[in-house]
Order: sequence, then structure tokens, then C-alpha cells
Amino acid sequence: MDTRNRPADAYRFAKGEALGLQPYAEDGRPMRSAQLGRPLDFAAVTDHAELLGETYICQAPDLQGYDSWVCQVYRRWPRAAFFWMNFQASRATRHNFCGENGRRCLEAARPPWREIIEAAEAAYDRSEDCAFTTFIGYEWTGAAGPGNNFHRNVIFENDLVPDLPLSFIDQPDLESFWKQLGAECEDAGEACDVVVIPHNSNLSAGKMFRTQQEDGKPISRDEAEARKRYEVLVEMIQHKGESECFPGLGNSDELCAFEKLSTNSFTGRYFWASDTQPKGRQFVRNLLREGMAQEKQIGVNPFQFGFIGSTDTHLGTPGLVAETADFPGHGGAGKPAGDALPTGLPDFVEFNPGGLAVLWAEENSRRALFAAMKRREAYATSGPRMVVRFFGGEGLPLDYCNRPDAVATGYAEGVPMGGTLPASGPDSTPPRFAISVLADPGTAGQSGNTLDRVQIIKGWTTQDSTQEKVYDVATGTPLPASVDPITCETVAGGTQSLCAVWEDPDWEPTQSAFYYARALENPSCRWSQRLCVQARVQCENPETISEGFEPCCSESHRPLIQERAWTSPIWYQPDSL
Amino acid sequence: MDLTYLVPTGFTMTEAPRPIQRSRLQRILRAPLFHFIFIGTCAYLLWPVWNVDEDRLSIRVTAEDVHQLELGWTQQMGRKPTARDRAALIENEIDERLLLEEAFSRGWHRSDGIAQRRLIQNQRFLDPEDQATDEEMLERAYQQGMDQSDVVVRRRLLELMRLTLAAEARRTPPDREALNAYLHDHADQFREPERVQLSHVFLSRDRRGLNLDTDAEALGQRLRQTSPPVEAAVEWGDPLLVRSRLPLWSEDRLARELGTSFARSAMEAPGQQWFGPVDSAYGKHWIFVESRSEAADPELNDVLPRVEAEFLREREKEALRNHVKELREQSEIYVETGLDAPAS
Repeated sequence: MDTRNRPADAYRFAKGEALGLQPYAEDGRPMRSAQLGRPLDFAAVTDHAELLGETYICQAPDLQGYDSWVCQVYRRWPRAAFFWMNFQASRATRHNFCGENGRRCLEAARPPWREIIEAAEAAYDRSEDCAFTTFIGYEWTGAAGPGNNFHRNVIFENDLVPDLPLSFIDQPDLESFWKQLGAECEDAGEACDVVVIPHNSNLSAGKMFRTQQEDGKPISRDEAEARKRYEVLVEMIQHKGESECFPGLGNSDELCAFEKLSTNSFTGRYFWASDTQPKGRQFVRNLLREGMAQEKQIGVNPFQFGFIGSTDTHLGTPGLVAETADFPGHGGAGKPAGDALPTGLPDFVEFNPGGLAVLWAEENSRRALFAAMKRREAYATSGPRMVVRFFGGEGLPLDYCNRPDAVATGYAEGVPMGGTLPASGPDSTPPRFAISVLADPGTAGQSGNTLDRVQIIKGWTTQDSTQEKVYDVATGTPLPASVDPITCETVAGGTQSLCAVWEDPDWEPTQSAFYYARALENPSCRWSQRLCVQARVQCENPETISEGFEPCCSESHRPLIQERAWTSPIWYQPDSL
Repeated sequence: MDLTYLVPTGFTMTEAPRPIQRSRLQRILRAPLFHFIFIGTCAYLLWPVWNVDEDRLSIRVTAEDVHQLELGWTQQMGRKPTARDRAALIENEIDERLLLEEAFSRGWHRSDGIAQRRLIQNQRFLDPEDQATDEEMLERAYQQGMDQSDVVVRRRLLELMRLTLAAEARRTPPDREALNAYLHDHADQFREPERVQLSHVFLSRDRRGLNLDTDAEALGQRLRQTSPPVEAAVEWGDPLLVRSRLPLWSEDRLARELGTSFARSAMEAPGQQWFGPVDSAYGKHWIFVESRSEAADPELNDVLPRVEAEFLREREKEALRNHVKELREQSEIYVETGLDAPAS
């Protein structure tokens, strides 16, 4: 991939500086560059724990192992090494050059881990400005069988972090990983705290979140509790697709057809014989339902997730999520650009620029943001910076949307996103939900898009199953902004803010339920279509389809995108399950 | 060399029993201490003479080299280099060659795997039918000087040199005095931006549609005529998810919340009075700037990690520059061009 940016560069990028990107010219000058129109408030660089030491050895001529065949492949054919080394890691196997018990590679992981920590420490703004917050973290890059994504991002509250990141190679199952994480962090006597964020569940072939042990027995209460303790958030969207729901998979929600991949695992793209059928447990909404069913059985909901979005960039460009013709791809499993500028589209057409994580916190500091993560007061967006508030509570006033103190009222009379409603008696009134959304204000260069509608998605338990339903709770003006998919030209218009107070018409006080809000923008041109238009591709005229632009005219290409935000759910739990 | 050991040994010898009487000069000439000092002095005096030709590196940038540099530039930039560009290209070429020569003298062209693979691959391309082993191919490549000419090998060796120098530069942590000086010298980079603290009354474009402009004018009149307390006035507008009393924020920060035109107006608004109507991404506002903080220079403690990181980054660059400078001083540099030849 030839990414030469370091963690410190990624933070500089997040804070608004321009960053050079591969490929590099012979004199070492980057041939591309990127810059955020608006800096981020916080970011975490989470490198893969598994190959930190391995890749370090392969680049340090004075270290033993540098001349191993794996390192030679790494240097000569980085793309092949990417697959081979990740394959080995996914089998939880160290390479021979790592020495006895992998000690050489573990030792070699220290300098890069120190670099990650130092970069986060240096970029964190501890002044009164609170302009930028960083988190020290890494990725535990597990696999449930080769190619089935099991990856987790590990985010620490502060600079009290373990000596080395835990890797899938040394902790090859979640139980031992959580146990060791507890031993090295919370139980180590220091003020260490950590959250674990599973990501890319859409590539897990449904194996990311188990409900049965190897022998077919239900998972233990301990396991469910450990998951609930660590996995408070889940990633809704990133570069390699969206994970909310799949059309027709337990739902009749057409809007689930959004940034979906055509495969269910990393290897599905490369092996024609792979089973690429989507599985329910790849998708967050199905998991939320399953979580309530599990809670009925074992007394704990192991899948009580709040939502975030991310880039999963492998270029060192956090927050580079705008759907523009400048999108350079994100590297990683995407289209490589190490040797030369990519011809045509800079990434696989089904990939996207990724999303953002939003946290509601008192201030922009590690302490406050981390607390927001722990209480799930978070939401994900597919890129735009919409402002979304979501409260639930019996006492929310019907005039919430007209109150100048709406937000304070929300906190006073209800629980915010990520919270749980108290159990109600049989005669109580249904809970109310207040949702307010403000469109992205845009930048000097690109104005924000307007809003189409806001929905509340409910899932609930019945006697022996779970159900779900999507409610439109507020819609924008009948004359919205519009876009021509052929030219990407837009006509201004539409609604900039939406607000509603909604009462659940189907509420049953004895049923567990979750409610989350989904706010949709009006359609806009997708990054790929902007590039297709720029390259003057006309699908009816094959001569205009230049090399690398063939996907513009594939059947699966969607020229338009309806960007969105997903709030963390609010759960309702009756007294007795 | 341990002189404390050598000197007493010499004295011991001179004090030993002497069967044959010699003149003082003869005795001195035969003394091991004299031999030691004499040979050492000769070696010291002659060393630069012996050494100079082999150690002094010669870098020659020919007219053809300059032409090639110009061609490469033109291809990449789409225009011919100016005289200044050309001079910079030549300087850069000299620096790179000096660093490369050092990498070669450290033997990295023979020890680095990436360089080796590249050379083998090149050689196999030249001799596609040849069944020679990798080692033989590699040796052939060295014999042909391919390690000196291949761009990928050069790039790799340069990178290794840069990484090595950077690591050396980071070895000792900087002291406070140096950091303070750095902060002082780079005050612009660390300066706190100007900020305003304001309250605003908002009128929604969504709610008011075509009446927005007239409503905004009417609101302005009412604010000016009645001069209400700011806390009361902000409730006269429409609800908005952005707070009506904002913290002390910079222009960038305001723009992220309410759009760029609002932010610009806010920075220009006079203090302690209602100002407007001001456009935002969502409608119109009347704003009341309560206080303003001018741009200011921070104390070191407030920006320590940032200063330290930037300082080390700078030191890395400086280490590279100094190293190249040293190499230049130890070398003979010739440039065959009549135009803006760089000083060597």
C-alpha cells in the first residue's frame, strides 16, 4: 500500500492540516494530497495489534528476521504479503521469524506502540480550548475462520495503557481477550478503562457475535456480561460498507439498501466458491433483536450497542468522508495505490468514504468523551455532520419542539440516546420519544444537504420471537432539494431542521423493546458518480467508458446516495422478563 | 590507547642494569618510548596526506545530469524549471548523491533485502532465459553498477539514511529552555486565535419561509427599541439545536456549528449591542457579542506536547541538513553548468 503517513500525521490531518498521500514520486514527493474542509473534534488511530512487531522487523535491516522470506515478500510484493500475513494472523499463528513464543515480534512491537501512544499524547489538546482529543487505541484483528471478520477496536480512556496491545495471535478468542484486557487494564490497579468496538460486522459472515458455544450450548451469563461490559458501541458504517440491516433479512425496510457489499466476508470477493449470502447476525438491527431474545433466556442482553461510524482508513486520513470527486480511496482491503495512481475510480465502487462518530459530552476531553461512549450517548453518520438529539420518556412534553430549552427538557424528563427507560406498570402511558435533527451546515466550498425525513425504528419481543417496525415520524417539505443523477447538478430547496414528538402506538408494557432514530438527507450524488460524471462517462456510449470507469455502468452501481444518521437506541425493559 | 601503562614500562627499561655504556643521544635513540613517540608523530603528520585522496568524496553533476533533471521536472510539473528551480534541483541532486554515497559506504546496497530483490528482478529482466541463481544475478547487477543507477534502490537507500538520521535526532529529549525558544520562534503557529462569546436570536428559514426577511427586520426593530436583557431576548426566536448562548469560540469553531457566513459576521460584529440580521445555514440571526478575546500567545505548559512534537520534527530535519552539510564539507563537488551553479 505504501502508506508512509505516521500516527502523528493522521492526527495532524484530523486537526485540519493537508496530508500527502501515496503513490510517491521517485524523489519521495507524494503525488496526491487531502485536507479536511472542517477539522475533527476527536480521533483515535487504531493500528492492527497483530502485525505491529512483524512489519517493524521487516523494515529494520538491523533486526533479526529482516531477511526472513516473509519479510522479503513483504518488501517485494506488499500486496501478496498483506494477504499472507493477515491470513497467518487470522489463524492466530506467529511467523517463524518471530522466534520462540513470538518473543522477537512482541519485543519489536514496542517501538510502534510507543509511537502510537506518543502521537496521541502530543496531539491531545489539554488546554482550556479543548480543541482536539485523541484516544490511544489499537485493533484486535480477530477472525472466525479465515476471512470472516472478527475485528474489534480497543479504545483507552487515558494514557494509562498496557505495555503492549493484545493481539488475536496471543488471545485468539474473545473470552481470553476480555479476560486479559481486564487483567492488564481495569484490574491492574491504575485508573485504566477501556471500551471495545466491534467493526465491519457486515464482513463477518454472521460469526462476529455468537449466541452459542462451540458445543451448541447457549453462551454463559458470564460471557454475555463480559460482552455487555466491553462492547458498548458497535460500528454502523465504514469504508467497507454499512452494517445496519439488509433488505428483506428480517425486515421490509427498503432503506436498508444502503452502501451494501456484495459479499459477507473478506475472502468472498476473491473466492468464487465462497458463500456470500448475507447472514442476519452480520447486521446491527438483527443483533439488537437477538440481544433482547438472549436477555430473556440468560438474563443479560449481550448486544446492547450504541452506534458509531468510522473511516477504517489505511491512509492515515481520519474524517475524510465527504462524497466528493476528490475521494482517494482508503487503502487497506480497498484498491491499492502504492505503485501508481489508480486508473479510473480510486477504490472499489462498492466501497465508500466511511462515516463519523458523534458523542454528546460536556466538553471535548478524554474523560468526558469516554464517559459518553460508556453510556452510549453516541450516534453514527454516513459522513454529513447532522446534529441529532433523541430522548425517550413518559414525561416529555408535546410542545418539546417549540421549546427554547428543548434539550434541557429532554434530559430532565427523559433519557438520552443510549439509555434505558424505567419499567412501567400495566396502566402506565406509552413512552414518548423526542427527536430533533439539524442539517449539516456545510463548508465554504460545499453547502450542506437538506433533510428528507426522520424515522424511528422499533424492535420488540413477543412470546417466542422478535419483531421490528419502521415509523416515519417527521418529513421535510414536499419540494425538497433535488439532484440530477446524470449530471450531479442540484436544485436547492428542502428542510433544514426536523423535529417530532412521537408516542409508540403499539406499545405493550410487558414487552422488551428498543427504539432508535434514523435521519435521512435528500438524495445526493455518490462519490463514484461524481467521478464518473467528471470522466464524462455516458453508459449508453461504450466509447466514453475509459479504463477503470467500467463500474460506473455496472448494474449494481447506485449513482445517488441518501446520507443518514443513526442514533444509539433507547431500550425499554419491563420488570420481569 | 592506554598511556598510563606504556609510560612506566619505558621508565622501567631505562633503569635496568646496563652492561654497555652508550652516549646519552644513543640511549635516547634506542629507548622504546622514543620509538613510540617518533612513530606516532610521523603517523600523525602523514595521516592526512595518506588519507585525503581516498576519503574525500567527489560528486560530479554533469551537463547531461542537469538536462535529465530538467526533463524529469518538466514531465512532472508540466512546465520548464525556472533558473531558481534548476538550482534547487541541482542542490537536491547533490544532497541525495552524498547521502547515497554514505549508504553505499555503510554497505546497505548489499545488506538491504528490498534493494537486493530489486536488483535481482532487474537482472532477470535483462537475462530472461538465464537460469542463474539469485546470488549470481545479484553479483552481476553489482558488477554492472546497477545498484548505483536504479531509481528504486536509490530511493530505498535514501529512505534508510533518512530514517537512521531521524532516529539519532530523537535520541535525547529536548530541555525546557530549547522548547521555550522554539515556542517563541514559532509564535504564529501556536497563537490562540481571536474568539468571541455571543448570544443569538434565531429565525428559522424552514418555519418562516418567504416571511423570513421581514420577520428578521421586525425582530431587529423590537430588539433595538426595547433593549431587553439578552437572556430574555434569545427566547423570542425559533428553537434551534445549537445553543442560544455560545461559548467563547473562534471563527472556525463557529463555522462548524452555524456555517461560514455566520462565523465571519460574528467576528466583525461590534460588542455589547444587537447586530444583524446575520445569515446562517439555517436562517437569520440577531447576535449580541458579550465579550471578545484577542489573539494571544500561550505559555509553554499549555502547549507542551505539541511544542515538543514539532520541535523534534524540526530537529529531525535539521539533523538531516547538518549531516548533508558535513558531507558537503568533506567532499569535492563539481557542477558542469554555466547557469546558477550552486556553491559547493
